[in-house]
Amino acid sequence: MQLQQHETDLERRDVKVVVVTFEAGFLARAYIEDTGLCWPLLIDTKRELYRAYGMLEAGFRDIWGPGTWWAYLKEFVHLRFPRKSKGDISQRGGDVLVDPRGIVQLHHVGQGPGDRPSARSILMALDREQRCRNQETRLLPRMIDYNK
Amino acid sequence: MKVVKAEHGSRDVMPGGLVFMRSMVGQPAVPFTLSDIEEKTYSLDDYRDSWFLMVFHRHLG
Repeated sequence: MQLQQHETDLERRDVKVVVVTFEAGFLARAYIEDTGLCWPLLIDTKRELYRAYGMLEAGFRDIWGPGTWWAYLKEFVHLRFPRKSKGDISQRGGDVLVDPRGIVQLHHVGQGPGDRPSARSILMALDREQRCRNQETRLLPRMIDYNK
Repeated sequence: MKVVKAEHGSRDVMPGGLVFMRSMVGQPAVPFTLSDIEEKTYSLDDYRDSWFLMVFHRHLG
């Protein structure tokens, strides 16, 4: 997972991360061992959280469309070769960033296998939101003083 | 065309049963309680007051 290479960047920004999967048992254990996953892997076998965030089943065109082949081509260029999947390839994935008030600040539902925001774009969105939040907290006392 | 709001306000159902997704940016996160492979449970409340990123995997195998 590309995001795992940015673990320290996320830590520095004080972001807690969880990975959600609908697959349990052997596949989940093997995934943790293979990737050395440093974040909790939460099992959502009923896919209720997936559905709540609109991550439904992808259609044939979403899975095998040009976006997928382009994503695979980029992987091949970097000499990374995707393995043949044994799981349900129609399940959509995605990313959800929640701020400290519990409000969703980034919500991405992948249309196909290659449609994921890059780690860089997630970090940029995070920086932008954190900067806005800091400005709000800095401005608040001044506004109160001004109204006295 | 009338749009009927569905549960969570996240999905809209249009006449004819067509369902599409609206961005949930600006809406409260969906509460959850899920376990990891060691049966340790995690919930949204565990991440209150901090930035929290959920990465939904397509498939692992």
